[in-house]
Amino acid sequence: MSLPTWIGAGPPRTGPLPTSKVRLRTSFVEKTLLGISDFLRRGLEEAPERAAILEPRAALLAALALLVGISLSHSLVALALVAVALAALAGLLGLGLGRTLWRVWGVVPLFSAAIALPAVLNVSTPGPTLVELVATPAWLVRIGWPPVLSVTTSGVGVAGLLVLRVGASVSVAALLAGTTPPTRLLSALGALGIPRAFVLVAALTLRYARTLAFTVSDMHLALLSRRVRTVDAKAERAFVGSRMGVVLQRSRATAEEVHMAMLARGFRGDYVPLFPTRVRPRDVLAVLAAIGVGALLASAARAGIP
Amino acid sequence: MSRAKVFHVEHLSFDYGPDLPALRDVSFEVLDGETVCLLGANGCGKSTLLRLLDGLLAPTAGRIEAWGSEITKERLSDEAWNGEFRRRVSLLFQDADVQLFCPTVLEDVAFGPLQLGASPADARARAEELLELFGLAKLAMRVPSTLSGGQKRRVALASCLATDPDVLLMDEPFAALDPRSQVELLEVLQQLQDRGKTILIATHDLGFAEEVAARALLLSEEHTLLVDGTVEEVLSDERLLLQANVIHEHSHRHGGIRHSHPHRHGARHGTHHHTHGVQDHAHEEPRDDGHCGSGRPPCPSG
Ligand SMILES: Nc1ncnc2c1ncn2[C@@H]1O[C@H](COP(=O)(O)OP(=O)(O)OP(=O)(O)O)[C@@H](O)[C@H]1O
Ligand SMILES: [Mg+2]
Repeated sequence: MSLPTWIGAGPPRTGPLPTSKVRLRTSFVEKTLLGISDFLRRGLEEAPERAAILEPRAALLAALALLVGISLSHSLVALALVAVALAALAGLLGLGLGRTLWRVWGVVPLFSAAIALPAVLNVSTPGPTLVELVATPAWLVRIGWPPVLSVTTSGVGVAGLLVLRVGASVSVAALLAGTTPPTRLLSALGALGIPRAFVLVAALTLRYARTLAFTVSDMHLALLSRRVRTVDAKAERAFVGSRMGVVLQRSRATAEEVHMAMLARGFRGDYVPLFPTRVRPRDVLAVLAAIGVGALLASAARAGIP
Repeated sequence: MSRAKVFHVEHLSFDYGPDLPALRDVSFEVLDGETVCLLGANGCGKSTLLRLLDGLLAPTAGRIEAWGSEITKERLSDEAWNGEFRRRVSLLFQDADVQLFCPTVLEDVAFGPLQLGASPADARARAEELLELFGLAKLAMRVPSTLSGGQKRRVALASCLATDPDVLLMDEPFAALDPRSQVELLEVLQQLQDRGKTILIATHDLGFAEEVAARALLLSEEHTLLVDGTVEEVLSDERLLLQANVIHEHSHRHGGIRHSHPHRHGARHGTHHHTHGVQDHAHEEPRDDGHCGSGRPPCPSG
């Protein structure tokens, strides 16, 4: 076999590499995708043993109590306090979760903004005016919109509640994932009486999310190695679109192979822990504390805390 | 005339994290047209070094120059610099799965030429020519993740060659190839050398190193550069090879007296053939395309 003639046809390029003033652009899409995959990777990496501060079942119950409290809460102040407390806790535990939480609060408002933003307007949430924006176009007034579009205090309250709830919930989840290895959580699910079928689905989802995250960042590296120039936004979107298909396809294949490997080694849906865990007093305390905080959250608004 | 310097690596260290060293104070140079083997045991830092040379990782300490200019984050985000650097340097990843990211094999091989501004027709012609050459023509429209391990590796190699790079960084190029493909790869490497390409090959396989390279860098398990010399020098220093753990002390019993002698993985003369024994046989097989693979002397470049 003989290589094509165009390989090595010219003399090797040995001169100094040229420079220019043009920056290679990293597109918004690319940055966002990388951010998400990085977040997933971090969250799904097996937390080291020393970080397992609570017994997995206790950790899961405590998180559940907090999540219920958060989703029932109507108090902005209480939610904000809990969010701050969770961030402080992550910092105190020294889990390197600061960055994760920073991401949570950087990313969550972005995502929930799309849903939350319309809620601040008097169109969806009537109430006392905070800021007047623009006069509503006549045809909208005709179909019943208020004559002036404005931001209402109650609207801000509703949107704030939404963002705070989502943010606090994600913080709880991040804290849980950061302190308890995912497979431990899965075995805790089983121990708490969740049917095996659900645990299996959760395990597969987890594995899928993990390979997805790894695939995205690996492929990005391969792309960096071969990318010569910035493509225009339209080509970029087309590229990302077709690549997403490949990523999904590949991570599904990997996840399935991993599952087969697990079956080959006798996996039947239970994660048998190598280091059996014991429930200690502090686990009980933590669960009780979490239930207390959850109850306070749920009843704060009724007790008159805004 | 002295040859141009391609890479100049100075006191290079890299850590993946606080307790995760991968390279320690490594310094060396690579000249234009050289073939250099990067030898070392699993985990000694070969892949990391290639990723650093490709600008995919940034040194924790030390510096890397490519054609006289240091590889920095700044320069890598300069469109002209990055463009020319990527045009000249191509990395064959150790894991071919990582490397192939296009929906079809053909698109993957054509990706590079398209990036470099080739017309779609040209890019396609190049890609098809390479696929044909590597016996992959039938797979052109397949999804890369559905290929076999060895097929993926050959597609990845075709993708690298499609842009006609001056420098090939190859991470374990022989792994996962069947004997016939290994021999073909040796031939391809030979031709690339003849056409003046600079080649860096990471491998822990001393047999292949001997076959393709003139020069070898040996990394220790402590991630330092143990020795930088000709392949003959490096491969004949059994003490160093043992230290780097690329050969192992194989104990035999001879009439009750126990003594050990160093044994090379993949060495031609060993009695203890591992997988490479298979490769050796293939090498001796007369081939139907008229080329006789046997007895080809190792062809050090330059
Ligand atoms: N992503 C990573 N995170 C943390 N440590 C890593 C990572 N990748 C590699 N390492 C560590 O860095 C060291 C060097 O790894 P590298 O992959 O460069 O080795 P290698 O010489 O290519 O090995 P092999 O022959 O097995 O391919 C190893 O100790 C490895 O455990
Ligand atoms: Mg490697």
